Amino acid sequence: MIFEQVILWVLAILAVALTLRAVLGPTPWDRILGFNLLSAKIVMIIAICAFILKKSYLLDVALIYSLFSFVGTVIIARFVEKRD
Amino acid sequence: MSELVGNVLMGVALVFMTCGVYGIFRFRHFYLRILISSKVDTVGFITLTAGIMVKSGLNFFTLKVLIIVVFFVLTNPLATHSIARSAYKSQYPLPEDDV
Amino acid sequence: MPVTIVFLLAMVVLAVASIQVRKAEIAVIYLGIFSLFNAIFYLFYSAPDLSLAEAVIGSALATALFLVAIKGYTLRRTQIKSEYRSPKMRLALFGELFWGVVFLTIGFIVISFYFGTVQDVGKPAWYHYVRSFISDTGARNAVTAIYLNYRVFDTLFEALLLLVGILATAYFLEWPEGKEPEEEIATKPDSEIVARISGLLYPFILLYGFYIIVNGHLTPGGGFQGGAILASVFIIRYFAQRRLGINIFILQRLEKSFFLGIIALSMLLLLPEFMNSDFKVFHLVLMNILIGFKVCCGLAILFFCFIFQQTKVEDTKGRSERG
Repeated sequence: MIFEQVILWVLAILAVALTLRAVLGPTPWDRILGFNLLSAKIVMIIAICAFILKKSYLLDVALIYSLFSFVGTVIIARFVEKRD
Repeated sequence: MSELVGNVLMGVALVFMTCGVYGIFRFRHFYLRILISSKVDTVGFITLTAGIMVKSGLNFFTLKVLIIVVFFVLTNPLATHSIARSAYKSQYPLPEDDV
Repeated sequence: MPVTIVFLLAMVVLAVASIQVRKAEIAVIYLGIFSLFNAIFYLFYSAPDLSLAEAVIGSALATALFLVAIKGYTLRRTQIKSEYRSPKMRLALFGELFWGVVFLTIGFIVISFYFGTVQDVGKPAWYHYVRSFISDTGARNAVTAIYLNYRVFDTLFEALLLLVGILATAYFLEWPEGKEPEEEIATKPDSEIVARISGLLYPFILLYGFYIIVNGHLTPGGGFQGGAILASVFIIRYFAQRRLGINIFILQRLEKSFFLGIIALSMLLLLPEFMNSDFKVFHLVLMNILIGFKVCCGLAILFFCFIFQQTKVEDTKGRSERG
């Protein structure tokens, strides 16, 4: 279980780095990219937590995350777009 | 045996994803960043979940993880596509030849 | 888990950044990321039901509503500003403030009377709920047992609150009576790839929403979360294919009748001889299904009203620029 803990920590640090990209990102699209990648990291974190704790209902939450980060990304990208 | 294979897969996935996050800070242009990060991140996700599936063996848990992987592989390139399309439609300039 | 301290730092950074940033759209993106972290916190501190709700509402639905509202607002900002600066509006705001202070004072006085009469009940209340919720209600998920059995009265009023809020929004945003909304909004689809793949995704999202609703008494989830998932199908469909394909009046009527159904079903709890152990589980599932459909209709109405208002503002602006 120590190996999974290490992976959890590394993923958490990567997630914080992506948060920094989202906060620093010069353009809005950089920020959306940070949002998208961060949600993928969070899905992985939940999957590993579910594996460590041996609780399969946590994977339902992970599935919802992966679906709704997609929905959110499409919506934000559509609205940040400047026409003409 | 499956424990070892799973650990190796997870380690490889971590290397992939760290490369992706490094690329996000390394490249100067938005289109390069989105290309690198989306590809590497999808591969990292698939590898890491494959590691989890190998470690947990054949059961209900593995099936649920498999469903998540199918959804992710379907939706993540699509999300990246919509971001890149939004940037392109807003006349975000394409990169020069020298990067 | 000790990992949470890292997320806590990121959340502080995001909170400060979303206050500091000047453009409202970027603040909304920050809030979306913030709600992702927030939901993982709920998960770590063993509240998966809340985590589901936060993931659905925070990262997709609230973001969409905020962005639509901001877009409509920036287009007609000058008009709104002049409305708020009028002396009549200021007087109205002052009156509201005055009555607020008066009612707060009365409330504090009443509550201070109440504090003198609190009784000691011995064992804490959760002891009773946690020990006997399975035999009392037939649910495996204690949260469902509380909101559909012990506290069903609270749930009724929450549903009523959502219904009233949505009806008020639909009333004030002036959906044109008798007009076919579809022709007003339909334009050509945004991206062919997104439209095709999301067409492939709808059935799965719908199926998953039904799973969350029907399994609400066994696993995390329930009516509200499942209803929000179902409502997101309408939203993603609008964004992918740029058409509504739905009549808002039928949705309103459906929402009201679902609410009536919820009231009628919860009245059955007053007849204890009718509620044997098999019927209890059936009752929970039925209540969850009704709540889920009601929430789905309500959120869809809210979103379409916002979208319609924004496109109307866009249209008038485009017409005035052209002419």
